[in-house]
Amino acid sequence: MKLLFATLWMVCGLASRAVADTSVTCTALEIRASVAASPNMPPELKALEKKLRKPPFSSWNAFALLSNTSVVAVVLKPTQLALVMGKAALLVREASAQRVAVTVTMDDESGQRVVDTKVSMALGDYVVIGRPIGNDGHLLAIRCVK
Amino acid sequence: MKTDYDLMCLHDGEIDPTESRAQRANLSADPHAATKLQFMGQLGDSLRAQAAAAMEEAPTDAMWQRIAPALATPVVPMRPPLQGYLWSAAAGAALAAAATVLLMRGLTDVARSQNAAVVTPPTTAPFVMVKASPPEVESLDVPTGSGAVFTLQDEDGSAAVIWISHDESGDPL
Repeated sequence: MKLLFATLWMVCGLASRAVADTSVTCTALEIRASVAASPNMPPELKALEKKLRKPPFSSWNAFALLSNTSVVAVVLKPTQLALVMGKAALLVREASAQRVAVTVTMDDESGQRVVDTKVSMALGDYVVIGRPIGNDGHLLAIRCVK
Repeated sequence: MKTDYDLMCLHDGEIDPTESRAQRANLSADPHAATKLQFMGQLGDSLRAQAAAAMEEAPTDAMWQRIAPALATPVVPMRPPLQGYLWSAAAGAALAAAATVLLMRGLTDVARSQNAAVVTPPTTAPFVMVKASPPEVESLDVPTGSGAVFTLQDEDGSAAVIWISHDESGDPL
């Protein structure tokens, strides 16, 4: 019986380690950018603030966080991201100790494909997908860390 | 039932004459094999006719005698085959020597690093300066418009920005 428990413990430990090695934690921030009388920058966007102050995002001064989704993405397993304005899917294709390669697809509210892109970036960096909606902007910023 | 190979040998006369006569006599009992053998004969005749027609269209010696004086470039004799072999052998030997040197150097480095890890383990983790490389957009498909790609960098890190421009909408870019 002890041998059985020891074997199960080893198998579970190895399996959890394998999952940890092939997964990354990705955060998707959905942002609505607009021009307002009073500028707004939510605290959740602090890490992106300097970039949002630069063109082309500097056209707007009010940024609203529409959704904030954090997922544990396993390599080669697609993850759906529910957005307020449409939907997106994230596929981590490769993840090393320093970089991650992802495929991101985003659809608008009518289900029409907006973008399908493959990006390779350092862990902790962002990929920001933006599109105009009238005079406003709709942004999806994705960042993955180990 | 004869195999196709047996029938081909029979057709090409590659078996013993006595056995050939016996097999041809037995073909009356196997109409399928007889048809195949007949088809092989027709195919052979067709191929021989094609080859004969091609030979008739080929340049003759008389034609070459008329063409040769009109050629501006003199005929250059081919390089002796041995010379080509020598160059190939020399290049191959050089590549093999380079590969051996690289392999031995790699093995020596591995052995040296293993010995170093065993004999003198580092007391502190070495500081490794890793040069950050910006995000790379490997592919981009924008079905309903066009996309612009650029990178924003600051002390907080880098961001690959993909800006989608719809054809009918206004755009701050």
